[in-house]
Amino acid sequence: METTIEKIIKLLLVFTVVAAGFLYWLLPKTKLARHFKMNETLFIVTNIIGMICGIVGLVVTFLFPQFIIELHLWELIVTPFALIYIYWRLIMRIRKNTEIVDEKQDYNMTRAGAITMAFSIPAMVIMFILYYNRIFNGPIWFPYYFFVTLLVFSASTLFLFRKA
Amino acid sequence: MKLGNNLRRCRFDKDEISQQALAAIVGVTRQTILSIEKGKFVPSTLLALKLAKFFNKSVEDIFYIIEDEKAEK
Repeated sequence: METTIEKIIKLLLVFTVVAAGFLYWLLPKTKLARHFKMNETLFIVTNIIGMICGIVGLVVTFLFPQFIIELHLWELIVTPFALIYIYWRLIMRIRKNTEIVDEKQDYNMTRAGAITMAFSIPAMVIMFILYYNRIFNGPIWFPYYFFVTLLVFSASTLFLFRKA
Repeated sequence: MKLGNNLRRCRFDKDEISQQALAAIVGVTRQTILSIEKGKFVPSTLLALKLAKFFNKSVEDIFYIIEDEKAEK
Protein backbone atom coordinates (compact mmCIF):
# COMPACT_ATOMS: atom_id res chain seq x y z
CA MET A 1 0.00 0.00 0.00
CA GLU A 2 1.27 3.43 -0.92
CA THR A 3 2.19 5.73 1.90
CA THR A 4 1.48 9.47 1.82
CA ILE A 5 5.18 10.26 1.39
CA GLU A 6 5.41 7.87 -1.56
CA LYS A 7 2.35 9.50 -3.16
CA ILE A 8 3.82 12.98 -2.70
CA ILE A 9 7.16 11.92 -4.17
CA LYS A 10 5.47 10.25 -7.14
CA LEU A 11 3.31 13.31 -7.79
CA LEU A 12 6.35 15.57 -7.56
CA LEU A 13 8.28 13.38 -10.01
CA VAL A 14 5.39 13.17 -12.48
CA PHE A 15 4.89 16.94 -12.30
CA THR A 16 8.62 17.54 -12.84
CA VAL A 17 8.78 15.18 -15.83
CA VAL A 18 5.66 16.68 -17.43
CA ALA A 19 6.83 20.27 -16.80
CA ALA A 20 10.31 19.52 -18.16
CA GLY A 21 8.84 17.83 -21.25
CA PHE A 22 6.48 20.75 -21.84
CA LEU A 23 9.25 23.33 -21.49
CA TYR A 24 11.54 21.25 -23.74
CA TRP A 25 8.83 21.44 -26.40
CA LEU A 26 7.82 25.05 -25.79
CA LEU A 27 11.01 27.01 -25.10
CA PRO A 28 12.71 26.62 -28.51
CA LYS A 29 9.66 28.31 -30.04
CA THR A 30 9.92 31.40 -27.85
CA LYS A 31 12.18 34.46 -27.96
CA LEU A 32 13.88 33.16 -24.83
CA ALA A 33 15.65 30.53 -26.96
CA ARG A 34 18.44 32.88 -28.08
CA HIS A 35 19.53 33.33 -24.45
CA PHE A 36 20.16 29.61 -24.00
CA LYS A 37 23.78 28.79 -24.60
CA MET A 38 26.49 26.61 -23.16
CA ASN A 39 29.26 28.27 -21.19
CA GLU A 40 31.99 27.46 -18.70
CA THR A 41 29.82 28.29 -15.68
CA LEU A 42 27.06 25.91 -16.77
CA PHE A 43 29.61 23.14 -17.28
CA ILE A 44 31.03 23.68 -13.78
CA VAL A 45 27.58 23.98 -12.18
CA THR A 46 26.48 20.73 -13.89
CA ASN A 47 29.39 18.86 -12.38
CA ILE A 48 28.90 20.42 -8.94
CA ILE A 49 25.23 19.38 -9.03
CA GLY A 50 26.32 15.89 -10.12
CA MET A 51 28.66 15.71 -7.14
CA ILE A 52 26.00 16.94 -4.70
CA CYS A 53 23.42 14.46 -6.07
CA GLY A 54 26.01 11.68 -5.84
CA ILE A 55 26.95 12.48 -2.23
CA VAL A 56 23.33 12.92 -1.09
CA GLY A 57 22.36 9.71 -2.91
CA LEU A 58 25.12 7.70 -1.27
CA VAL A 59 24.33 9.07 2.18
CA VAL A 60 20.63 8.25 1.78
CA THR A 61 21.47 4.81 0.33
CA PHE A 62 23.52 3.92 3.40
CA LEU A 63 21.24 5.57 5.99
CA PHE A 64 17.86 4.47 4.59
CA PRO A 65 18.52 1.45 2.36
CA GLN A 66 14.96 0.18 2.86
CA PHE A 67 13.39 3.42 1.57
CA ILE A 68 15.63 4.59 -1.27
CA ILE A 69 13.92 2.43 -3.90
CA GLU A 70 10.54 1.81 -2.26
CA LEU A 71 9.78 5.50 -1.80
CA HIS A 72 11.37 6.52 -5.13
CA LEU A 73 13.88 8.61 -3.19
CA TRP A 74 16.71 7.91 -5.63
CA GLU A 75 14.69 9.35 -8.53
CA LEU A 76 13.96 12.43 -6.44
CA ILE A 77 17.64 12.88 -5.55
CA VAL A 78 18.77 12.59 -9.16
CA THR A 79 16.11 15.03 -10.43
CA PRO A 80 18.30 18.20 -10.26
CA PHE A 81 20.99 16.50 -12.34
CA ALA A 82 18.39 15.13 -14.77
CA LEU A 83 16.91 18.62 -15.17
CA ILE A 84 20.26 20.20 -15.93
CA TYR A 85 20.92 17.42 -18.44
CA ILE A 86 17.57 18.22 -20.09
CA TYR A 87 18.74 21.84 -20.23
CA TRP A 88 21.87 20.65 -22.08
CA ARG A 89 19.64 18.75 -24.54
CA LEU A 90 17.54 21.88 -24.93
CA ILE A 91 20.63 23.91 -25.85
CA MET A 92 21.63 21.21 -28.37
CA ARG A 93 18.14 21.36 -29.88
CA ILE A 94 18.09 25.16 -30.09
CA ARG A 95 21.61 25.39 -31.51
CA LYS A 96 20.96 22.40 -33.81
CA ASN A 97 24.37 21.14 -32.75
CA THR A 98 25.24 18.24 -30.45
CA GLU A 99 28.79 19.55 -29.91
CA ILE A 100 28.09 22.13 -27.23
CA VAL A 101 31.14 21.39 -25.10
CA ASP A 102 34.57 22.43 -26.30
CA GLU A 103 37.36 19.99 -27.08
CA LYS A 104 39.02 20.21 -23.67
CA GLN A 105 35.73 19.59 -21.88
CA ASP A 106 35.08 16.67 -24.22
CA TYR A 107 38.57 15.29 -23.52
CA ASN A 108 38.11 15.75 -19.75
CA MET A 109 34.75 13.96 -19.83
CA THR A 110 36.27 11.05 -21.76
CA ARG A 111 39.08 10.72 -19.22
CA ALA A 112 36.59 11.04 -16.37
CA GLY A 113 34.58 8.21 -17.95
CA ALA A 114 37.66 5.98 -17.93
CA ILE A 115 38.43 6.90 -14.30
CA THR A 116 34.81 6.17 -13.33
CA MET A 117 34.88 2.79 -15.05
CA ALA A 118 38.10 1.86 -13.25
CA PHE A 119 36.73 3.11 -9.92
CA SER A 120 33.41 1.28 -10.27
CA ILE A 121 35.13 -2.12 -10.10
CA PRO A 122 36.51 -1.82 -6.51
CA ALA A 123 33.32 0.03 -5.53
CA MET A 124 31.23 -2.94 -6.62
CA VAL A 125 33.64 -5.36 -4.92
CA ILE A 126 32.92 -3.49 -1.67
CA MET A 127 29.18 -3.83 -2.35
CA PHE A 128 29.66 -7.55 -3.04
CA ILE A 129 31.40 -7.94 0.34
CA LEU A 130 28.54 -6.08 2.05
CA TYR A 131 25.99 -8.38 0.34
CA TYR A 132 28.07 -11.47 1.14
CA ASN A 133 28.09 -10.53 4.84
CA ARG A 134 24.33 -9.85 4.68
CA ILE A 135 24.74 -6.18 5.63
CA PHE A 136 22.73 -5.25 2.52
CA ASN A 137 20.17 -7.16 0.51
CA GLY A 138 17.69 -6.54 -2.28
CA PRO A 139 18.23 -4.17 -5.18
CA ILE A 140 20.23 -1.62 -3.14
CA TRP A 141 23.27 -2.19 -5.37
CA PHE A 142 21.64 -0.19 -8.14
CA PRO A 143 21.31 3.23 -6.41
CA TYR A 144 24.75 2.62 -4.85
CA TYR A 145 26.32 1.97 -8.27
CA PHE A 146 24.40 4.86 -9.84
CA PHE A 147 25.42 7.44 -7.23
CA VAL A 148 29.02 6.23 -7.03
CA THR A 149 29.44 6.61 -10.79
CA LEU A 150 27.66 9.98 -10.78
CA LEU A 151 29.87 11.27 -7.97
CA VAL A 152 33.15 9.97 -9.40
CA PHE A 153 32.35 11.08 -12.94
CA SER A 154 31.29 14.60 -11.90
CA ALA A 155 34.17 15.05 -9.46
CA SER A 156 36.83 13.81 -11.88
CA THR A 157 35.42 15.85 -14.78
CA LEU A 158 35.49 18.98 -12.63
CA PHE A 159 38.97 18.22 -11.31
CA LEU A 160 40.41 17.57 -14.78
CA PHE A 161 38.71 20.65 -16.21
CA ARG A 162 39.93 22.97 -13.46
CA LYS A 163 43.44 21.54 -13.54
CA ALA A 164 44.93 23.93 -16.09
CA MET B 1 58.23 15.14 -27.47
CA LYS B 2 56.05 17.93 -26.20
CA LEU B 3 54.11 20.70 -27.83
CA GLY B 4 55.30 24.19 -26.92
CA ASN B 5 53.55 27.40 -27.86
CA ASN B 6 53.89 31.15 -28.08
CA LEU B 7 50.25 31.78 -27.39
CA ARG B 8 50.82 34.11 -24.47
CA ARG B 9 53.30 36.16 -26.50
CA CYS B 10 50.86 36.25 -29.43
CA ARG B 11 48.08 37.50 -27.13
CA PHE B 12 50.24 40.31 -25.81
CA ASP B 13 51.35 41.25 -29.30
CA LYS B 14 47.71 41.38 -30.34
CA ASP B 15 46.68 44.32 -28.12
CA GLU B 16 46.99 42.22 -24.98
CA ILE B 17 43.81 40.35 -25.76
CA SER B 18 42.50 38.48 -22.72
CA GLN B 19 42.18 34.71 -22.54
CA GLN B 20 38.42 35.14 -22.17
CA ALA B 21 38.14 37.26 -25.32
CA LEU B 22 40.37 34.92 -27.32
CA ALA B 23 38.37 31.93 -26.09
CA ALA B 24 35.12 33.55 -27.23
CA ILE B 25 36.58 34.30 -30.67
CA VAL B 26 37.81 30.77 -31.34
CA GLY B 27 34.79 29.14 -29.65
CA VAL B 28 36.31 27.46 -26.61
CA THR B 29 36.36 28.11 -22.87
CA ARG B 30 38.90 30.30 -21.08
CA GLN B 31 40.11 27.20 -19.26
CA THR B 32 41.06 25.63 -22.60
CA ILE B 33 43.18 28.64 -23.60
CA LEU B 34 44.81 28.62 -20.15
CA SER B 35 45.60 24.88 -20.44
CA ILE B 36 47.07 25.30 -23.93
CA GLU B 37 49.27 28.19 -22.75
CA LYS B 38 50.54 26.10 -19.86
CA GLY B 39 51.21 23.19 -22.21
CA LYS B 40 48.80 20.93 -20.34
CA PHE B 41 46.42 20.47 -23.24
CA VAL B 42 47.24 19.78 -26.88
CA PRO B 43 44.72 21.53 -29.13
CA SER B 44 43.12 19.90 -32.14
CA THR B 45 44.32 20.82 -35.63
CA LEU B 46 41.12 22.79 -36.13
CA LEU B 47 41.66 24.88 -33.02
CA ALA B 48 45.35 25.42 -33.85
CA LEU B 49 44.33 26.67 -37.30
CA LYS B 50 41.66 28.92 -35.82
CA LEU B 51 44.23 30.45 -33.47
CA ALA B 52 46.74 30.88 -36.29
CA LYS B 53 44.10 32.53 -38.46
CA PHE B 54 43.12 34.92 -35.69
CA PHE B 55 46.72 35.98 -35.02
CA ASN B 56 47.42 36.10 -38.76
CA LYS B 57 50.38 33.76 -38.33
CA SER B 58 51.22 30.24 -39.44
CA VAL B 59 50.58 27.35 -37.05
CA GLU B 60 54.35 26.84 -36.74
CA ASP B 61 54.74 30.43 -35.52
CA ILE B 62 52.49 29.65 -32.58
CA PHE B 63 53.16 25.98 -31.90
CA TYR B 64 56.48 24.18 -31.94
CA ILE B 65 57.87 20.81 -30.91
CA ILE B 66 60.00 20.50 -27.79
CA GLU B 67 62.29 17.57 -28.40
CA ASP B 68 62.66 15.11 -25.56
CA GLU B 69 66.21 15.22 -24.11
CA LYS B 70 66.41 11.42 -24.04
CA ALA B 71 65.31 11.20 -27.66
CA GLU B 72 68.04 13.65 -28.67
CA LYS B 73 70.71 11.41 -27.12
